[in-house]
Amino acid sequence: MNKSKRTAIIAGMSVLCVGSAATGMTSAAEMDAKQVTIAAKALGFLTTKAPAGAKVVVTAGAAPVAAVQAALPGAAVAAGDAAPGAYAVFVSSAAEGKKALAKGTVTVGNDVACVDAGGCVIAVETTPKVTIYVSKAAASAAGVEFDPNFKMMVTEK
Amino acid sequence: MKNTMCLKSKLLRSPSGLVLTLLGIALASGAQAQSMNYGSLEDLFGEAVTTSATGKPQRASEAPAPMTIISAEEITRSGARDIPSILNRVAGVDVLAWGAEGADVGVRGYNQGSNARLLVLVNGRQVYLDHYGITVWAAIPVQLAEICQIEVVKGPEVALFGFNAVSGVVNIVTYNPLYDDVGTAQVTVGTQGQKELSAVKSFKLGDKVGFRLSAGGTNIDEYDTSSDVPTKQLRSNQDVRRAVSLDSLAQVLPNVQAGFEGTWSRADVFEAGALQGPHQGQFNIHSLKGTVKADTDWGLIETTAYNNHMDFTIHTLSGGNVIQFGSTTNLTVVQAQDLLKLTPSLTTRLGLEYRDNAMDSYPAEGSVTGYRVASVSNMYDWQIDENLSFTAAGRWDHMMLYHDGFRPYPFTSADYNDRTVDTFAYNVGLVWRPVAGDTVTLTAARGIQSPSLIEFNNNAVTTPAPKATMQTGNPYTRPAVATNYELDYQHALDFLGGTIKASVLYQKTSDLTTIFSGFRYPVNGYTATFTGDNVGDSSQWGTELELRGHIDALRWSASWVWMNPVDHLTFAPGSQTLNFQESTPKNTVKGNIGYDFGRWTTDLLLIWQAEHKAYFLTAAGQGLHKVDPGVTAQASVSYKVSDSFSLTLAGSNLLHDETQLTAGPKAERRVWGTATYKF
Repeated sequence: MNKSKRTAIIAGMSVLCVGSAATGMTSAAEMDAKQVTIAAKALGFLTTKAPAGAKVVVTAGAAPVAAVQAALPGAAVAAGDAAPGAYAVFVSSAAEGKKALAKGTVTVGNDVACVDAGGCVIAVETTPKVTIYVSKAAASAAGVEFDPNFKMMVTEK
Repeated sequence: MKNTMCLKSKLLRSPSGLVLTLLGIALASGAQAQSMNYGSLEDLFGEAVTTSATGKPQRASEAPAPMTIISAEEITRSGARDIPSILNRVAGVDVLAWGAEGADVGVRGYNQGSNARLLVLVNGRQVYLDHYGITVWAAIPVQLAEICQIEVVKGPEVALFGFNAVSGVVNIVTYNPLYDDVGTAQVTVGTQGQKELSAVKSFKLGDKVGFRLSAGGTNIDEYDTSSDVPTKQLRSNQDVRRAVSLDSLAQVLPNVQAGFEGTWSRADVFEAGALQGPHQGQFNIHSLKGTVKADTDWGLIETTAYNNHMDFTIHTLSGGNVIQFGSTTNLTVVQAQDLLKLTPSLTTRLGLEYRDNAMDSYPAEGSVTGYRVASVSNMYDWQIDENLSFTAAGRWDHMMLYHDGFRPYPFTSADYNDRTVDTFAYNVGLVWRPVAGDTVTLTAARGIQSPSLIEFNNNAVTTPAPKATMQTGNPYTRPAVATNYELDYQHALDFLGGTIKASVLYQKTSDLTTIFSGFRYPVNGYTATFTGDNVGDSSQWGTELELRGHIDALRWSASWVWMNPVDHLTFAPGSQTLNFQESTPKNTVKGNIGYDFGRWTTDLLLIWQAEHKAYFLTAAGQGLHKVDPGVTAQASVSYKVSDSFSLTLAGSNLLHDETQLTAGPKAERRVWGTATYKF
């Protein structure tokens, strides 16, 4: 998602959801299949060891569960709430990200704002080109490291 | 598993297979990839990735240098069986095919026999040969089926790579022995008695040690198109190529990888020598290389050490007679670099290098002439914002000549052993993406071309008579210096599924060197003619216009290149075999189209070059000869019999029985068939 699209979405939601905006609880759009695929590929650059059949949780509004399952066929993907314990949690806001973020749990945001806020380890944009954002603080909190060459090619926050 | 793209990319083409495999890697081993994982990074970012511009992994579209990346798929589709033919597809690259196997490759003009302006690497190890500073392409110990991609950087890239990267760099990247699964056997037969066998296979010991073994050989008859006596006298009837390579990589610690590579190759090819005359060269080369890479708190640290050893023999003409000479060269290089992300937007690379490069005297042994070079380089890559980045790199080289053994008459040992040369090279680049799909790149570079060993070498083993005249290498030959300023603009053409790229450049080379100047110089009471001299400057304006794209299964590209060198040489016209303003084709047009349907893959490359003139020695003597190749064609048709077996029919110089590609003998039409089995 590019900056202008993000801005437009946030602006639109500010107008339509005044109550929500007043409390700062804005949510970005659900990740599309391409974003999910790219995010899943990015997880492949983690050096973190994880058990086979890793548990992956998708919170409401973060991403289509089926798309995540399709992108991570080796994992056990299910809808659920933001909480630590899973290998990865796809979240729909920074607040959810912060709730789920813990040692051994990688949070994947549907918005770069989640990475900016340190709630998500990664977030991706696919237009106009694939851009991957990584929060150093969130990665540290999750106790994960990325491939050093991968880190050279992403935008670290 | 069948052949993969770089890494497991082909497997990973489907999202499910991709992530299963990637996750599987993470789940199973947790190995950190200190070495570049080209395939998966390319698959992730949706475009080719490279380290050849700055030493830092980056997308090709963001590299602060004009470059083209040739993928493994393009190599396969081309049907070509040699690297120069593949490079010939790139805009701005011109190939002088002297014979069936021998060729010189130039980037943006200034190409001639024994071109010393191009740095050629295999996975970062130099494979150009220091005796003349040339590349014998047939002696590169790589099979086409093990090439992951070929990166062509245009313009000086010395601040990263060092000497000789003055007109450009060709970095051949092979499949990674630890990550990639490759198994290919190929048999090729064709006209000119062409017979070729090639095999590549990777195998693993557990999940932490990987090997890739390759071997291949080619025999092909030389073109029978010249009745000129020197060429017929010198040229062997058959070119021969043999190569074996073993590459390995091990994950020795979670954050440390160690690699070893050993290669051997032999090439017997007809080419044009540095004096632009026919010669038949025989090259026996072996190399050993070790690498350790570690992901540390201080950055990605990489140390490499390698040795290239070559025994060569050249048959050439001297005073109308066929002579043979040969020698041995030995190169040892030790490199260390640290790539560190200082801040999220600032990356630096610090490099140290030491090299010892020596050549034995000939025909009598007993002396060695060489040089040692200590280098330090530093690069900063600053991502100013999402759409603007700035890169600056500098390199300082301290060269120390030496001569061991007999006194190097007419010089003294002190002329060599006290001689040092300090040079500075830089690369600066600004990449700006004003809107999505548009990229503007502004670059400036200063590159150094070291004199070759033959230009320094001294073969004296006895005391000459007083006032004698002798021929010798010259320790006072200065490096040539190339500066290049360039503006590139790339624009996405979404309606055509492609891009258009336009470049304007100005390049100047000072202190051009020549192998044999013919001038007589007084040296310590003797008279000397030098195999190594500086003979003036040359500068050029140039433009490149390139379109490329694909619509569904239809691939296409077209390019026009205009280069206009102007020489400012210090010798009388005709007295030396340098004349870049005549020998560089002013205009070159290339067009490529390919279409895939069902099990079929097709590819057609057309090249037109403007008439030009180039030096070549014939029975009538040395002179400028007209070269007018007109339009030439290469084509390929492949049929995939099964997932593991394919057949290819390909050809080159297809439009005429004989084509004048160079000032040397004409090239014959060639047709060959290749059977490829993947296992």
